[in-house]
Amino acid sequence: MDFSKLAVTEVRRNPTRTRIAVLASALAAMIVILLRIIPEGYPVGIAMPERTYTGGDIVIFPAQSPLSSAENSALVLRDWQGSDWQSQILYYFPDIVKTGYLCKEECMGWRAMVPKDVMTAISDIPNVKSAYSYIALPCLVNTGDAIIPAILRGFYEQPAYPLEPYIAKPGNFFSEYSVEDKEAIIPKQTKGLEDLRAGKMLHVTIPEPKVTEFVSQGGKVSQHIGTDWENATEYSLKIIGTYSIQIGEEIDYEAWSNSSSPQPPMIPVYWNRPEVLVSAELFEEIVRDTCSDFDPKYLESFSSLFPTYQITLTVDNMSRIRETTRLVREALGSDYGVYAVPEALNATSSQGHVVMPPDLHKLFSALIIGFSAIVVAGNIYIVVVQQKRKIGLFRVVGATSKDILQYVLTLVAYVSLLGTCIGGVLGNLLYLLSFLGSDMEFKTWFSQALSDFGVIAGLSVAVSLGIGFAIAYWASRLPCSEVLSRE
Amino acid sequence: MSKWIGPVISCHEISKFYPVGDGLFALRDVDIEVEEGWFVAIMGPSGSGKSTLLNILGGIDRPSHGEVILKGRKFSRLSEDDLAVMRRTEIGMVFQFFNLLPELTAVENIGFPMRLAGYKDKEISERVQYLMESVGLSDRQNHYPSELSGGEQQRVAICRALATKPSVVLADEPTGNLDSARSKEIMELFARFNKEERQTFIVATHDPSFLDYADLVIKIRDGEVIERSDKHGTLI
Repeated sequence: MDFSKLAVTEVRRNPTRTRIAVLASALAAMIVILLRIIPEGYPVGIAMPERTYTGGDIVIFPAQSPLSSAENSALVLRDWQGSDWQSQILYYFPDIVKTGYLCKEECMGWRAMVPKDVMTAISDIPNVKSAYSYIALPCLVNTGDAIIPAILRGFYEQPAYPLEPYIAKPGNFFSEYSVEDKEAIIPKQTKGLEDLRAGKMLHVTIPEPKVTEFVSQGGKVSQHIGTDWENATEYSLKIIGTYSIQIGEEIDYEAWSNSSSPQPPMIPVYWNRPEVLVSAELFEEIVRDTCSDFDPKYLESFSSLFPTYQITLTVDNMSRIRETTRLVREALGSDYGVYAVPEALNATSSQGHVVMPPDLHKLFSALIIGFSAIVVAGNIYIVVVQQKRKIGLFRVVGATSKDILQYVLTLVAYVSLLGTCIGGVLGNLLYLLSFLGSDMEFKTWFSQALSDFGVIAGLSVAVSLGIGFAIAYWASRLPCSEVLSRE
Repeated sequence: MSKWIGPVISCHEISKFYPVGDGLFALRDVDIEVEEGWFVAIMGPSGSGKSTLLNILGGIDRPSHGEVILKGRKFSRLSEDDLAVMRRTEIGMVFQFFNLLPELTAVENIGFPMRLAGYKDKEISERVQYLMESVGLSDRQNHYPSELSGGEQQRVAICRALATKPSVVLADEPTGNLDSARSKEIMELFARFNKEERQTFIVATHDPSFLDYADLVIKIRDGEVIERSDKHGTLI
């Protein structure tokens, strides 16, 4: 006797009950899919100055990976042996110079990363839009009155994070002639450079960069970028603007002590890193000019092969950045420090002026999944309880526990699968509405919708069959005498 | 096939105790032996323990004490699944409220236990055809239970109970839900199959009309057998 066929007949001949059961399963599947609408990240405008200046939403350093309390491998404390010009790590983690950093024993440590390797490792991660290297060299600015140490940085223009709002007027961002005219934008807040204005020339001395290979502590071949000041080159750059990045404000205690106002006066706090910005193209040309014996393999494709100490990633959707950061962290492993910019800011007390929204996603997820599981379980229970009398009858005419199990599981799988399909389609259509109001690309949405559907369908059937199995087991042991005596 | 010699079904010192309140005995020390081909009527008022006794004889309920033996097989040694498999071919059951599967047609309902027992399609078809003709339902083969009258449903239920030619047919108030004309039809059907197929019938009822057909009448009150007699009233 085919009990599966019997279960399907039963489902078809009870359309009202089937519709209600399918609807409940669909609702459960739908709300699990709609979990994606709950933000798992940060508001769009959070830490905007830092994201603009760093050049993206996620920052990757070749050290200082976040340590988890679940970490069970041996850790070592290493000195940080980098230089300030190599990356912006000292802005986010200023104490690293004094305290060093904890890492796993086999970690490669501070070294220059090859952008292509990183990009290859994270290429499959959804929500990652683009990756940029932080390209910089130390330099000396000759103002005529003084020699000011600074950093020459090749800046990639990013439409999503325009620098214009931070450029003092009158002033411009790089023009299409940025290479020919050797355009530069200088920091307004750097001591010694305050008097330089747009239109003037900036005289800089740049050392020759040298890439050296070494075998790191993990036994892998890595690179360092060194500088040779004896072969330095002088450049004259045209200042086309000045910029100042306000990252917050603080109490002006001096002014407050002379004031009778109960409200403390506030003064703006600027990112005072002395970065002289040139276009990425100009920077590349300067590096090619200054390097006499550079290994051509690093210059073949400057943006993907030239070693760097910092890589920034931009994302499609800021509301998913926590998940994206986690995925990047997993893909790169403990040799890299991966932080969402707001998280990196929050990690350091001295720069912790960003108010982080609480991470309610996990709580919501747990509540919603719990609710869905209860809906599915309740649904299945009701379907099976309605069959109690019939199951008793099956037992009377000779059905074994295995037959009952087959009957109930078919019943449950049919309802769950149908409900999941309907819920999956409806959930993804509703999710599409949220996508229309977001900055996500259709392709990203579609691949997420497909993967959601697969996961939810699998989960739903697995959960239903799991719960169904328990209920079927219970049903197969129902005392049929009691069941049949009722009417 | 060797033929079973001795009582087809018997029970010894059967008691059924429900631990509710101060405790309740639904059956107390019941002994019955039924030979092959007998028609047994179990009489008694409502709540006397008739249904409990039938359920225990059919292996769908377990006694608190005592033993049921069907053709030498002790129920206490069989698992629930063993009992279920045994019921496929050895026991047929008829209920007051018919208990047909609503999503199956009359033909499918009757063939259901045969399919469970592993009969071939041809055998099922021939047996079902024979039974439906016997009970006068040839023209109702593809009707669903909801399209049949109470009497017709009970006749289908009887056919289902007889389908696998079980050793024992247990009927619990089979006419309790039918008018007197339909009740008579059912009683005659039982009597006919009892004679034609030499099947043993044990019918729990409080309808005295069954006495005319019974080889053995067992009267029960408050869970205890108070009288055994033949159809003429002679005490046994």
